[in-house]
Amino acid sequence: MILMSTINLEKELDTYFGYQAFRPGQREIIEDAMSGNDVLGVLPTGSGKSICYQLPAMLLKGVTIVVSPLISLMMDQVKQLKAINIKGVVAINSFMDTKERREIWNKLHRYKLIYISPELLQRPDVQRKLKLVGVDLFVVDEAHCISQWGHEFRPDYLKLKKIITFLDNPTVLALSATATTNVQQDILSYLNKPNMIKHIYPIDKPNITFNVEHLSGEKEKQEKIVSLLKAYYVPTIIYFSSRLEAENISALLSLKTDRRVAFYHGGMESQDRIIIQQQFMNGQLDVICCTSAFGMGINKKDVRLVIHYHLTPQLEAYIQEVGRAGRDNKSSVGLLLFSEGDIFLPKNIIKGELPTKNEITTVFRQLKAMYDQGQTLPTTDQENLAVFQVSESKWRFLQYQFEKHDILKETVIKYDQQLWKEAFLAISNRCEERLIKKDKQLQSVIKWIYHTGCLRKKLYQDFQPSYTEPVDQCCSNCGFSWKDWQPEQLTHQREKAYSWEEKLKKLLLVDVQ
Amino acid sequence: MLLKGIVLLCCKTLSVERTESATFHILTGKKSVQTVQDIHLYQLTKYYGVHRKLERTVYDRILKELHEEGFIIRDHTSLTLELTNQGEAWLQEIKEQLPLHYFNGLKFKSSAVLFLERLILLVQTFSNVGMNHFSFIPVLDNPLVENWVKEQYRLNKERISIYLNDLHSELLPLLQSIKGKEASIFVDRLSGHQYYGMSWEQLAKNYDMTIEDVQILLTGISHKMVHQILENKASFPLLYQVIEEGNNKRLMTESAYKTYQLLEKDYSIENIALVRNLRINTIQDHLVEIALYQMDFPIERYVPSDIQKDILAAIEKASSNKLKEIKGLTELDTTYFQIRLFMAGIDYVEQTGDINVYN
Repeated sequence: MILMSTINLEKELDTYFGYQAFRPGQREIIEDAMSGNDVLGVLPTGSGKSICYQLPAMLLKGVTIVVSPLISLMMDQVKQLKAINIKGVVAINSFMDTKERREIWNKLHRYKLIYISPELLQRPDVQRKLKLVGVDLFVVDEAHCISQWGHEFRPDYLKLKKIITFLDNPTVLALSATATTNVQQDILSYLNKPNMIKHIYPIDKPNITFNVEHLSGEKEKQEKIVSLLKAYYVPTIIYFSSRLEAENISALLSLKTDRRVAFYHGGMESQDRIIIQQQFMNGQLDVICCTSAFGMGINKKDVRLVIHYHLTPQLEAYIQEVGRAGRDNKSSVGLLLFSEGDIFLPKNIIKGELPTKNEITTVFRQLKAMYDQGQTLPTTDQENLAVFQVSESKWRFLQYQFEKHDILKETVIKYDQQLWKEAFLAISNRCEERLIKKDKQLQSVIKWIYHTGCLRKKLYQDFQPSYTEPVDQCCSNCGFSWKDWQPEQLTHQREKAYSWEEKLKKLLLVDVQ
Repeated sequence: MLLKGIVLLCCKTLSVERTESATFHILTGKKSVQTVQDIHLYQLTKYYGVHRKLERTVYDRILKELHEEGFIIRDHTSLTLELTNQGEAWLQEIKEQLPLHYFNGLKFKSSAVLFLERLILLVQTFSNVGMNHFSFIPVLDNPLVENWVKEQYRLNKERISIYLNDLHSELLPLLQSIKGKEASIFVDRLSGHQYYGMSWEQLAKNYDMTIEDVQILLTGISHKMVHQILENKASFPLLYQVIEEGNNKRLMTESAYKTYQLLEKDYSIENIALVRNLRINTIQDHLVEIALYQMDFPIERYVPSDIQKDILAAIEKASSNKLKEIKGLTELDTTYFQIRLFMAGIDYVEQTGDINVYN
């Protein structure tokens, strides 16, 4: 804990991050957290959520750890901090090899801000080491993952409560950009912090116009996008629910328009992902065709148009993705293209995330066979995925369930016939429930799409009681015309075609540039 | 076309004596006795591990295409394949246009990857700091490469523009020695100050090639560059560092490194033992260690080709990787030292772990 009156937070913000002033909510959250109060902060995407722990991390004496569900997100943040010359930051995850990790372990006390994945945090040795260095601030990023009502439930988040106690109860700061009142309640109760101070800020974006267009099918969607790209030369993101479609439409758009288009998805190798992302940031690309893998941690300010080629599985995901438009608060458009057949896509994706009854049966059989032969489970996720032949999300779900039902303790299998029978039933039911729940979430997206009243009001109604009046046109139901949307357009001159000799000179000979 | 040509060439050389998977294993650099034996026996060492990213589905697609074009006949029961006359003719026709001579997989498959990664990050970093721009997102995530580049920066920060000038004058002749299109692809993969190079997809589109061909071509170019640099260290002092530094010597023990320096001066084992006042056995141990890390270690000098064949045959017959068993199965006058050296040289130890498994 720190005496807040002795610190000039604005000055520190400027020193470390070069910002002159706090954005709404940041100062309030930071002051509470640094005074040792547990805080729940709900701030819209792009509002500088991460400053809420990055600044305290620099100022607090002990270590700040940040639990974050996405490795790529952690890496992005660390890269961005390093890029502005902030030291003492590290991301620890299971993709590091032992040597690398050991090196970091040995000098753990020298770090101020440690990002860690929830899986790795489960390990007792990791917990002991963290206890030893002393954690001052325990940050739960993307805290909605703790709730099964949140759109990305992560079972490992449920175990954070115990870890916080083990770490001698550091101050807890839970952050999310998307938490309905239900989810907020879950966060407080699952973290066992009923007295958390809530700082809830409206997540609506008055500068985004919501536009849903009902079209007859793929062909119409494609024509629509082509004509929009021709009419508007603005930084554009187009979201797809499949990698292949993102690739195909990307190819089509580069053929039919003279925009610079590329695709981005999780199946690309890391170097290419960084290249494409940075080309977009850097203005070398105009349009990105991508899956939901794109956008986390990207803060390009002038994205004007976010198109959804497919619907998202929950409204939360839509709010998050469309929120990548207009971070500079200038008028921007979110356009969702919908045709009736689209409903089946997310249904199939949802089914793929949870184990089927058959799969549960098979995994149970395998566990029994391993138990009979006195075997234990492999230690890494990758090996387990191979052994049990299920997808990563399915395995995470099962592993959590097995531990909960006392069938697994770390890698050791415990057998009790009666208990296993009950567990099997319980787990199967749990899957059913989750499916029903996810289907409900999907239904609310579809309801929103078919809604005839104000789309803005409907979109935000579960998250907050009201919304700010839009700065430009409101939504397609309140009346929208493309004619009246006149954003500032880019002016790009076709680059001169340089020879490789010239390019090499430009890269290497500083005085030539 | 490049990958297709290489696949066809390998298939032709292996003919019906091997299954159609053999070529796939060679290209992806599989570390199995069978594959290592194949590349030596059929002299396909050049193509060993030249496309480690190659996916089986892509390989199968290529075979399918070759079949449909009438270049190969596939025997679905024995899983072998054979070139048709048409295939032979096509291969002859395109062979001259393909940069097949660039490749040297067995020798450079690891070092060329490291070379390329270091070079890419080096160019990006120095190009940025040369413009006094210290905030950029590195295109590579490899912390080992990052540490090496940081070290270079620390050593050279007072002379960035000179360093960049030197780098330019070393890269230029290397790029001039290959075709213009190839040089252009190579340069387009590089990133620098406020500029990010091309992804595989973008290169493929821009140069009207398949992604696989772009990738394998860049591998070939990097092999050729590494070869040229090592051949002529004096002309490429900076790039020689990019390949070698922190690569060989730091992985060797201090004592083995001293032996290595004497070997470079063409001392014989006996003379090194004499000069260093060590036993011959010890120097032999050093050689095994050196062979593990020095990519162009001249194995033939210590293990003549008939002995190599003898060892391979023994490895094939042996049920384990224990040296004692392998030695027992050799037919010529083969020594333990030769077996260990050979196994170290073919990278075999990576698979078996410990090389000192005498008993």
